[in-house]
This record gives sequence, structure tokens and C-alpha cells, in this order.
Amino acid sequence: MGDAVASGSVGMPVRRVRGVRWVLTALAVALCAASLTACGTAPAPVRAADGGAVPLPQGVRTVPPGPAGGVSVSGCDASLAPSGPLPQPGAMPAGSAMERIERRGYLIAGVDQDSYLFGYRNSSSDPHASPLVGFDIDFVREIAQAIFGAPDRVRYRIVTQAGRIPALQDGSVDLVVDMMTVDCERAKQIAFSSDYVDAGQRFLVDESSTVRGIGDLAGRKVCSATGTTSIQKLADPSYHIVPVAAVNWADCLVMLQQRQVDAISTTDLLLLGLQAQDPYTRIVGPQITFERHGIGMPMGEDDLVRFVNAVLERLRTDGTWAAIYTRWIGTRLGPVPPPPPAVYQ
Amino acid sequence: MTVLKSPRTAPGGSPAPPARAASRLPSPRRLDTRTGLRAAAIAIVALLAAAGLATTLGTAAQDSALGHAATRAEPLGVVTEEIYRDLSDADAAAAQVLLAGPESGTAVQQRYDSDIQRVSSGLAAVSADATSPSALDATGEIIADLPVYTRLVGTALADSRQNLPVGAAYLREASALLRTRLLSAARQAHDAETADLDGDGAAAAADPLGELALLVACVAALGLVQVFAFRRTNRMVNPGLAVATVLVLALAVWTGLATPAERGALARAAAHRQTADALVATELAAIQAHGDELLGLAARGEDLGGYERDFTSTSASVSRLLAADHGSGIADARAAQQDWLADHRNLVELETEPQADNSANTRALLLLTSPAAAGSGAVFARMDTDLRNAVETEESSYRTALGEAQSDLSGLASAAAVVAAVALAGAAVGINRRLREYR
Repeated sequence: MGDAVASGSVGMPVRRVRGVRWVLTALAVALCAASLTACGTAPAPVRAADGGAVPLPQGVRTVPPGPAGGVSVSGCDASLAPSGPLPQPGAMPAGSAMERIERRGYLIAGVDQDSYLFGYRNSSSDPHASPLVGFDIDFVREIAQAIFGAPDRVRYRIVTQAGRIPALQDGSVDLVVDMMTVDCERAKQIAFSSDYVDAGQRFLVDESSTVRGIGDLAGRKVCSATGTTSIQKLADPSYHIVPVAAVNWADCLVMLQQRQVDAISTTDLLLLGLQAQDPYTRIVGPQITFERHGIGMPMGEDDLVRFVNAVLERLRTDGTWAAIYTRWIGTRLGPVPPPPPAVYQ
Repeated sequence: MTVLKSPRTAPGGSPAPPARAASRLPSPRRLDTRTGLRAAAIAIVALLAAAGLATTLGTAAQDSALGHAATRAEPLGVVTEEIYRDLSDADAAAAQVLLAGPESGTAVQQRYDSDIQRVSSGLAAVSADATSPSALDATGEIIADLPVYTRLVGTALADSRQNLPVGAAYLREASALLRTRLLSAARQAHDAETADLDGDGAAAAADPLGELALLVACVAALGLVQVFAFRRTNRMVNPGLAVATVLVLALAVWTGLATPAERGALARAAAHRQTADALVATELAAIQAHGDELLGLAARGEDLGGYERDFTSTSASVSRLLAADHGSGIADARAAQQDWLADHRNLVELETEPQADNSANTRALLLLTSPAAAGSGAVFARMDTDLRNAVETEESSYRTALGEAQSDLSGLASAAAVVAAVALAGAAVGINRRLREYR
């Protein structure tokens, strides 16, 4: 051992130099390790993020092609005829559904609140103003007027397109006035009033779009609201359309404005409500459906259906119907039409 | 080991003759004094260099970890936490601006604007200072998505001012973007910075056992050499070696005492940070629940009850987190949360009752947004203030404890370098004086 150290000292000069070099290297490595940044490791560049994409509204889904069809009204478009003249407001027949509503003090109406021109928020800052306004809301107020003699005796419950029939079935609303298309499938679950306005399914496209009708939309995305007859119609395989179902109509407009769908399709009346929110869109194509619209009521409340039909009958004849139509729709879809005729069983 | 036997040298006499005699007639069983001293010199130089280097570098690494924690990781942790909080607050503020409509004061609009500005400057700070790839990725995502978010909110507000229902649809889309992509990226950035801070804590709490072992070995070696030199040369005290021994011993004692104190301070710091993190989690959940209330009112049923369901689950986690939280003012925050839940039930009643006129909306809005009205908005604000004060207290205690840890170690690294250098010089001089006697 002693020898080894002694003999080692013979070659000392050379080894010392090497040793110094080694120690310096080790020192540098140790120092680098101690402070990583000192060794000039460049910070990683900010990754070209995959963010920045415009999102879809929540709850949007693509609908697979379904059975051909959509609205079918053959044999189920007839409502119950009024049973004589309207009772005086505030004096509803004993035991009737109207009397139950009268005793409660207000009518509960299921309506939409983002259907522009038909049922939407009242921008008035007056706390006593009606919370909603629109074409449908005016009909609700006329019915309240007929029951109470006061159009404000209403409480509005907001229902979504898909939530309308359940709301009638569980009794949380007395009636639904929300541009509901009369359809045999629905007529098995709820009762409809007589036709209060007619419309047909068309397309809303961007002003710059070359789409002129359903023939130009094969392979393209077309938006409609979940739970509507419009989306069922679009799912008809013969159109080769890609139907996109949104939670509500405003979400469809968001997607059209974001270029995420090529068109929106529903009745021309509802399309007018969307078109009025964006002047850079237009309604195109001939009607691909003819749809009657009825006020929805719970199955079996025949007295209420007959009462509502009597109210509608009055509105048709005393000019109120034309006034309401003119107020909200006017001549934007052509001349003001005559009120649709009632068809009774 | 060779048996060492003291040379019978004349006391204080010339050292040369015995050494020459020894080198001329080497005994196979007896170590030559000169060789022994040379070997001892090399061993001691190596040991002292190793111990000095290890202690200096080890302590410097701990210092650097503490410094990084104090100047980079902790501030970035706070910045990423604020990005999350400001984004969440913007979500609620945007809904409030939309709800207030034409009557919207400038205050809430300014709150939204300054939320977004703070998010932007926070993103700039993280981009400049963060080193973790995960934090940088997340920041890049927020940078890409933030303009999309603000554009959607801008569209929502512009449409709403014209009373167009599509405005509320844009707000829902904006909020969904914020809650899915933006907030999850903000959480990713915060998690990355928290991990960075944890790494600093672990590095700063490194065990100095290796350093202590080397220092003790140095003391032992110095002692042995002195015994060897005394036996061979009969010199009582070698001043160089003695100074080296005392210095190294002092350094060992310093290291042995400073490290446990530093680790104690670090443990206190970690405890404060854990408390602060838990409080932050509570606060962020509370902000989200408050946003649910505002967005739910703005959506008015079009969200199919989604915001209300989120409120229920989020406020359940607020309760759970709050029960586990501790810190100053938590008792009041718990009381405020109970009031909040009661007020929320009133609000839900107002919203779900069929509306007769605009007054229900006006009242719901007032309950939600007015700091004066006794409603869920005011109660939320009270709870948020409590939580934020508690967070600030804990974060400041954390910084104090971290500063204590830093001061516990202060001077040790440079002292170790100086001690090692002086001890090396002392040992070299001391041994060299003995060796010279053999020339």
C-alpha cells in the first residue's frame, strides 16, 4: 500500500495535470446540476397549441338518418268543436278545467323564451310588465282574458322543444303555446286545439350561400332543434342531409353564424324569428312540408279544448287574429293570410 | 495495516538523520515516516477537498432550491392560481353584465374587463418564467382560446343589448368553452407549478448525511495524522493541523445544527402551503357555484337545468372542502355558506315558480348581484372575502417559513468553502513542515 502510493508519486506531474482537468470537469458538472438554468438550456418554446378552435354549443349532436316521413296529420287534425258560446270571463262552468284555473287565480302556460317574435324576453325594465312577448304570448293572453277578463293573469313556465309534451303530461302547465306542429304521433299523447297558424318547413342560409333549396343540401349539415318534427323531416334518408340537433333554435343560429352548419331548417315562421336576429341571412327554397299549428293541452281535458277552440273562433272572426299576425309577422313572408279554418271532429 | 512504531528521534533534534537512516534501511514491517506523511497529506487533501466540495455544493443546491421556490415557483404558483380565479370570475361577471342588460352599470363591465386583463398579464408572466413544459403547454392553450372566449362573450353582450335571444346562446357557448378548455388548462398550469414547488421542497430538504460523514472522516484523518506525527516526531502540537481540525469540527457541528432547523422551517412552510391550497380549492369551487347561479338565471331554462345541477354538485364539494379547511375566518365562511344555501333555495323558488311578470326576474337579479340586498350574491361575497383573507394569511405564513429556512442555511455554503480552503492550507503547511525535516 505504501509502495503503491510512493510509486504513484513518480508520475505525479502528468497525473496532476490530468487530475486537475478531471476535478474541473467534475466541478462544472456539479455546478450545472446545482443550477440547471446556468447551463444555457433554452426554455421549451410555447407549443403551437391545438386550442383556439371555435366550440360547438353544448348538447349538439348529429342525427342518424331515420324512417322517411316526419309530420303525418291524416285523420288526426280534427279538434273538438266549441260547445256553444263562450262563458262570461270570471264565470267558468262549475267542475270544468277552466274553473280550476280560475280558482287558482292564474293560467300556467308553457312557452318558449328564446323564440324571437313568437315567445321571447320582454326587454322592458318595468317590473310589472309581462316577462315575455311575441305571437304565441298574445294567444296566451287572449285565453287568460277569456277566463279572467284580465290578460295578465298568467304565469309562464319556460319549456324546451323536447320538454313540451312531458310538461303537459305531468300537469305542470295548463297548456303549451309554442308553435307546436299538429302531428298524429303527438296527438296520441296530448290534445291539440284547432289550427291557429299554418307554416311550412324551409331553410335559413347565410346571405352569401349558394343554397337555393333542399336539392343543394345533400351531404351538408343542417341544424334543427331536438324533439321537433323539423328534425325528423331532415332525417329522411332520401334527402342525404346530415341533420344536426341543437338544444334550441338560438343554438342553431350560433352554429350558422360560426359556419358550423350550412343551413337551419324549420317552419318559415320560426325561421323568420331567426332571420330577424341576423340580417345577413335569408330564407330560401319552397316549403317542403305543410304544417298546422295547435295549442297543446293535456289529453282528456275536453272542456278546456272546446273552450280554447271557442276563443280561437272569436279571434278569427273579430279581427284579433289578423292584428296579432300583422303585429309580429306582417308582410315579411308575403301578404297577411286569412286565418286558417278550423277542422272539427 | 502496518504496525507503526515511533522513531526514537532526539527531542527537538534535527530530523534528517533518522529519516535518512529509515529510507536507507527500510524495514519491511515498518512504514517509513516520510512515506506515511506523504500518504497522509494526499489522503487529507483529498478528504478535505471532497468534504468541502460536497458541503459547499450540497448546501448551495439547497440554497438554490429555496431561492427558486421563493422567487420563481411560489410566485408562479400564485400567478397560475390567480389565472384560474380570474377566469372563473370572468365567467360569472359576463353573465352578470348580460343579465343587467341596458341597466348594467360600468362596475361589473369593468370587473369583467379587468379579469381578462389580469389573465393576460398572468399568462405573460408564466410564459416568461415557467420552465415546466406542462405549464407552458397549458399556457399556450389558454393564449389560443382566450380571444375565442372574449369574442363569444362580446357577441353575446352585443346581441343581448338588442334583446336578441341568440345572445344568451352565445353566453352559454362561451361559458362552456371557459369551463371545459380554459379552466382545465389553467388547472394543468397550476398543477405543474405546484409540482415544481414540491420538487424545490424535496431538494431543499435533502439529507446532509454524506457531507457529515465526509466531515467526520476529515476530523478522524486529521486526528490520526496528528497522532502519527506526534509518535514519529515527538512534536506535541502541529498548529496547521490543529487549526484544520478545529475548523472542520466547527463546520461539522454547524452543518449538523443548521440542517434540522432548516428542515423544521420547511415542514412548517409545507403545512402552510397545504392549508392554503385546500382553501384555494374551496374558494375556486365557491366561485364556480356562484357562476352557476348567474349563468342559470341568464339561461332561463334553456340549459335544461344544467347549471342548477352543477350548482348542487359544486356546492356539495364546497361544503366538504370547507369542513376540512382551517385557517383564520373559516368559521365565518362556514356560517356564510349555510346562509348562501338558504338564499339559493329562495332564488330557485323565484326562478322555477311560473313567472307572472318581470318582478320575479328583477328580484332574482337583485338577490344575485346586489351587495346591499340580503341575497346569495352578498353572502357569496362575504364567504369569498373570508376565504381569500385566509388564503393570503396562509400564503404569507408560507413565505415567512420559507425565509426562515433560507436564513437557517445562510452563510453555510460559503463558510464551507472557506473552511475547506483554510483547513487545506493549514493541513498542507502543517504536514509540509514535518516533511521538510526529512529533506
